[in-house]
Amino acid sequence: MREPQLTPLKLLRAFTLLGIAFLGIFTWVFLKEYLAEWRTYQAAFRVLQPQLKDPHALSLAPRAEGIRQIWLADIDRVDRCTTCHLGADDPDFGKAPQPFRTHSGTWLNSHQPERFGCTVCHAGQGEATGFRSAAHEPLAHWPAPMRSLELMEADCGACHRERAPRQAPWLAEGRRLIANANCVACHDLPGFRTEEVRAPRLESVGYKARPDWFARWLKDPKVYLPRSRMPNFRLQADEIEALSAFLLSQRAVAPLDASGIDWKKADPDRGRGLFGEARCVSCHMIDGRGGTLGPELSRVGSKVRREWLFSFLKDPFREQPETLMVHYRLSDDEIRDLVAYLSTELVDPEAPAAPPEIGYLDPKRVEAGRAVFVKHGCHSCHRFSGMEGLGKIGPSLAGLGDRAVDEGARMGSKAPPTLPNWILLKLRTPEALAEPSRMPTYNLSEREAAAVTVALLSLRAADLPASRVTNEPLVPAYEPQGEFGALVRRYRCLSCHRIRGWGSDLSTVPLDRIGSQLQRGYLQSYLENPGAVRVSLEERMPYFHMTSDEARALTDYFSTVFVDDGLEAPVASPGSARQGQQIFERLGCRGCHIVGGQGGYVGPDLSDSGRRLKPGWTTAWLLKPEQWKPGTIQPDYGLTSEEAQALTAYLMSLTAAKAGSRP
Amino acid sequence: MKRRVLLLVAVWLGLTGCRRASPPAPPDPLGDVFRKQAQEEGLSRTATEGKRLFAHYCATCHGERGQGDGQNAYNLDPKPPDFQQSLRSHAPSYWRRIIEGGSAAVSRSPLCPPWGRALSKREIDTLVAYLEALGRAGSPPPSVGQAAAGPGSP
Repeated sequence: MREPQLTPLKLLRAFTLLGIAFLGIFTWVFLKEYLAEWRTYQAAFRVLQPQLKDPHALSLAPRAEGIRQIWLADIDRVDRCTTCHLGADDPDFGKAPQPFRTHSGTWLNSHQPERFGCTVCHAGQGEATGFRSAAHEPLAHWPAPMRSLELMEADCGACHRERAPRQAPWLAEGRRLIANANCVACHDLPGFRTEEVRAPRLESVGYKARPDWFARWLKDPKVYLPRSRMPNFRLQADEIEALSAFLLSQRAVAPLDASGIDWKKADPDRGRGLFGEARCVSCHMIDGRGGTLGPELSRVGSKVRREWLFSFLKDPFREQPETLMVHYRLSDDEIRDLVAYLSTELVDPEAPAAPPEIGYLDPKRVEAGRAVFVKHGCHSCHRFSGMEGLGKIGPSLAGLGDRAVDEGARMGSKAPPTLPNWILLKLRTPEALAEPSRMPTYNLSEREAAAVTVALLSLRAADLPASRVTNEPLVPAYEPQGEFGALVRRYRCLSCHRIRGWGSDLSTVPLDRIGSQLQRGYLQSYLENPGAVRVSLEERMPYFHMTSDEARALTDYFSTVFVDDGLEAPVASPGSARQGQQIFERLGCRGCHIVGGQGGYVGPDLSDSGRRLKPGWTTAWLLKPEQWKPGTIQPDYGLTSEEAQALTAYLMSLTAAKAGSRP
Repeated sequence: MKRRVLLLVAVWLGLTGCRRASPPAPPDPLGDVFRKQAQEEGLSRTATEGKRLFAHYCATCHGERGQGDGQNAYNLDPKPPDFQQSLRSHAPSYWRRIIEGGSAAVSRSPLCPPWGRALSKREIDTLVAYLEALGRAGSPPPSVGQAAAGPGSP
C-alpha cells in the first residue's frame, strides 16, 4: 500500500471544498433559524394585531418577539405553545384564524395558563415550536400526541379524581360504568375501592337456586337477563357442569323452616299488592321498570326455590349479612303470598319444566368446579369464606394511561393500534387480543366502551403533586350503635339515604337535619305508614310494617340528634298567611306543587304542610334552596325574608282537612 | 465518482421522499365512535352540556326536545310552547332573559321560574346554545315554515 501524497494543489482543493461545505452548513443553519415556522407565525401575528385591536390596547399588548414559554416547575414541564398561539388568552382574537384564535369557553379562567400551561390538558410535545414536532397529530416516538376533545377528558381525569367531574361527560360515564361493573374486584384501580364491590355471597347458593338455572345463567347471564351486571365468562360446557356442581354443593346456612306453610292457601294477587306497597320496584327492576340497586326480578320465579325465597324475605341477613335488602316486618302469611306472586308470575317462559338432575354429590366434580371458580376469579366479586387471601386475578391498571402498547398486538392492521384503541378493543372483545384471556365479556356498547376507555386513560403513571389534584373528601363509615343503630341496620336506611355523607343517594333526602325539617308527629306516622310525598317518583319509601315502638325510637333519635340549631330558632316575626297565599299564587307555585287537590306532581304535595314541615326550615329552604341541596329544581326566587316568612306562614296554615281531602 | 455522487443524492431523495409520503392512516375505531356520536347528536360540545341541564331543569315541563310535552305540561295554563316553533321568533338574548329571570321577566305567566341564581352564566350559555340547536332542528325550509306557522302560531 502506498501512502496518498498530498500535493499543494490537492490540499488547496480539499480546503476549498471544506470551506464551501462549512459555508453551506452555516447558511443552512442560519436560514433554518431565520425562516423557522414560529417566526413566520409571529410575523403574521404582528400584521394581524393592529387589525383586531384598538391602538391603545395595542400599545399595552405584549410584543410577539422570540420564543415564549411557560415553565411548570412542580411537574417539570415546559410549554412553548404560546410562541405561536399568541392570541389564546386575548378575547380580541375570537374570530382570528388559528394559531392565533382565543381559547374557547371560559376554560382559561379556571385553568390559568401560567399555572397549567397547555400540554397538561391538551397533551402534545410542549417544548417543540413547529406544528409537526409539537405532535398536533400523531408523531413517531412521542407517546402523547394531542387528542380529540372527547379523549382530552382523560387528561382532565388525571387531576380531577372525582367520580363525576361536571364538565367531562365521557369521563364521568366511564367511571360510573367501572364502578358498576366491579372492575376493581379483579384489578387494582386507583380511585376505586374493593369495598365497593357488590355481589351476593355464594356459600349457601345450593339452597337458593334451581339446578337448571345455573347452567343457563353461567352460559351467558345477558341471555337470561339482558341488564345483568354479571359478565359472560365464556365458559366451556364441562366448566359450566363442574361449576354448577360446585355451587349446588354449597349449603352452609340452611334456610328457615318453611314446612308449616300451606302453599295451597297462597294468594298471588295479595302478594302483588304487598309488592307494590313495599315499593320493591325502588330497587328491583321488572320488565324494564324499576331501580338497579338490587337484582332484576323479571324471571326470579325460574331462578330461586320457593322455600329459599320465603326464608330470605323473613330474614335477609341470615344468609346475606351485607345485603342492602330491607328486613321487612311481614307475617308468614304475607311472605307466603309475596313468594307466590314472585315465583308464579315472574317466570321465564323458556325454563324447562322438568329440570335435569345434576350430580352435585360427586366430590370429584365439586372439586373440579371449585378449580373453575378460582380460575375465573368468581371469588373476586362473590366473597367466599376460605378464599379471602387469593388476591386479585387481573393485572394492576395503575398508570395504564402511560403504558406502551404491546408491539405484537396488530389487530388486522400493519401498524400497532394506539393505546386508546387497544383499550377499546380489549374492553369489547377481550378474547381477540391475548388468547387465552380470562377477562369476561361485558357486552359494552361502543359508546360505553369508549367512555370506559377515557376513564382508564386518566390513570397516569407519574404521581402528581397534591396541589394539582382535586377529589371528593373521603367519608368515614357511619355506623350508628345501640337501639337506633339496630333499627337503621334492620330497615337498611343507608341503602337509600345519606347520613354524614355515608350511605346512598337513591333517596333525595339526606337525614342529617331531618329532625329540624319535619315535625315529630308527622315523622312518626310517616315511618309507620309512608304515604307518597312525591307520587311521580319511582323510588319511594317502602312500607316497612314497622311497629309503633320502632317508629317512636327512630323519631326520638331523629328529633334530638339530627337537628340543625340554626333552623330551630323561633321565628321573630311570623309573616301573614294571607300575604303568603298571594305570593304563592303570584309565583305560580301550583305549577309544581299540589295544594287542595290541585297542582303539579313535580314537587312534594303541600296540602298537609302545616302538619308536616317545620317553619324555620321552610323559610331557610325558600330563601336558598341551592344551599341545602345543590342541583335542586326548587327555584330560587330571590325572596326577601319577609316574603319567605309570609310564604311559610301560609304553608303552616295548610292542613289536609282545611285544604280539602285529596282525591 | 460523479455517478456515485448522483446515486447518493438519488438514494437520499428517495429515502426522504418515502418518509414524507403519509402512511395510510391506521384504523381508529375509538375516533369513529366519537365521530359517530357527534354526528348523531348534531350538537356542539357546549350545546351537549346544555342538553343535560335542559333535561334536569326544563324537560319536566318543556319535554326532552322542547316540544312543550313534558310530564307536567298538562297541569300548566298557559301551556309551555313548542320551542321548535317559537324559538325562531326571538333572539337568543330574549331566551337568556327568560332563563335568568323566569317568564315573568318578559311579562308572561309566572310559570317558568327564574334560574339565574341557581345556574352560572356559563351554564346559561350552554342552555342557550342547546336552544339554538333546537330552533335550528325545528326550522323547516322557509316556504313550508311560513305555511305551517300560519294557523298554529299565537
